[in-house]
Amino acid sequence: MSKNPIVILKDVCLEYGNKKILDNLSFDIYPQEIVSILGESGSGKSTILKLISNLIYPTKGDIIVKANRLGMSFQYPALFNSMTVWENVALALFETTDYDHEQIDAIVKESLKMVNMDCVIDLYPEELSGGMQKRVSIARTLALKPDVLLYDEPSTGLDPATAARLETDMMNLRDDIGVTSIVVTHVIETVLKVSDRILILDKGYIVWEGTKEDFLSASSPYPCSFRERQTLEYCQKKCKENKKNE
Amino acid sequence: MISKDAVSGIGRSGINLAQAIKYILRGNLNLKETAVQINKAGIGSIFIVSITAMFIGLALSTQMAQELARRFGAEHLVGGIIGVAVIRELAPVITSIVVAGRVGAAITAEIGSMKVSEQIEALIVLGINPIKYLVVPRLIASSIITPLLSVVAAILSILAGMILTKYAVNLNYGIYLDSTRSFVEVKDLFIMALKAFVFGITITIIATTTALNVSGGAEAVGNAATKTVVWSIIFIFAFNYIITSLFFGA
Repeated sequence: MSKNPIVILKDVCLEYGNKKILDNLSFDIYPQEIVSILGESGSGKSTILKLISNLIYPTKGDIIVKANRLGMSFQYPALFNSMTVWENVALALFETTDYDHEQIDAIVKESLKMVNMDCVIDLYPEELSGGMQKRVSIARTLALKPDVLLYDEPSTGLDPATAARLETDMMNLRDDIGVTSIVVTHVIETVLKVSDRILILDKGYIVWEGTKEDFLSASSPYPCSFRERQTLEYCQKKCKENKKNE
Repeated sequence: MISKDAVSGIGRSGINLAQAIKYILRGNLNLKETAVQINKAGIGSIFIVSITAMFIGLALSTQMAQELARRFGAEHLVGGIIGVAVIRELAPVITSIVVAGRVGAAITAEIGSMKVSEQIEALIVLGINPIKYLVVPRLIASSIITPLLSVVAAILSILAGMILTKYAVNLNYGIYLDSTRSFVEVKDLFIMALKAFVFGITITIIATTTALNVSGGAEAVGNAATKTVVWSIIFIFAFNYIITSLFFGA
């Protein structure tokens, strides 16, 4: 792993009125790693991604992104319903590059192939499942060849099989084309499967940081509480399934 | 804090308008999308504008033909009075109110839904400016279709008034049209087009700015559409007064 970070957040503060969302937040992201940011709902996880992608600006602090191009997969697929899958993926290429139609067609097909969605090229978003829409939205981002990809709650609303496929896509993008990923989620299964490094966010700042292995063995309260919750959720899910089967 | 909201809304509208004009002056236009918007706004509104305009003409004729004939014996002036009232004031104002209700609300609903489903943020991250991609085509479309619809509304109002006047006081079509021609000046037609142009731009800027600032869910989108119509109507009347004062004031 390279020593030079590709994304740097230094003493970042964000306030809405009197409410402090982020409080002196600092961390670095290195090229070709997958970093998961774990936290409770409302802890400011998605806000971090919006700050990195310049959708909002910090009240204080510095955000340095050394990537040539940055892409983001939103919590909702955010596809344009009046356009086909091909048109959705091609849109940014038509609007922001000088490529001709043939070049764009080739890029669109290649991007969709990367996430195994080249079979739905002529369909409209409403004809696809939630998971397929998310993968198309990732293909739309990949078409612009981003160095850094931001994922906001990638597995929310997906069935386990689709979520697993999406997680595999994330790791393939890192391994095959060297994409750096920042994943914001509260789903621990996703975190444990894809992450090289985990950051835990609470009350606006990073309270714990470590590798997947550290997370599983750590005795500090934050990783423990997430691990306990995972076990609890797993048991509750199993109980429900057993009741259904009875 | 309605007043604070209103002031910041006016500020944001001004910034969005300035940005849109910058893109238009650079010639950076999406002609295909502009044509789609002209078709959507213009063709979709022509029926309701026509119906509204005809009823305006009928109502004016009902009010004026009998009164002018009975009180002053001046029924030959009906065409001129209806012509001036319609061309100077009613056609652009009524057309714009219809456009605000139909097109403005639809623009806010469409872009507002895109906002709450993160499609606008997706555009920005993809490097596409929402002002250029969404606002400019709609702005050009409304600045073209509102004056055209006003012309249609004026013609239909005058013709509807002419037909009813014939039945009400047995006024010859030729006399009605001669009166209209003698009262209405070229300047009036220019002012009608100018008003409609300004109102069209006002409606689109209010609609798009309101939509781009929607936050929340479906209810927020509905509220934003209502806000667009209310503020558009207020500004249509305000700008109508300003333009009228500029050209016809003492």
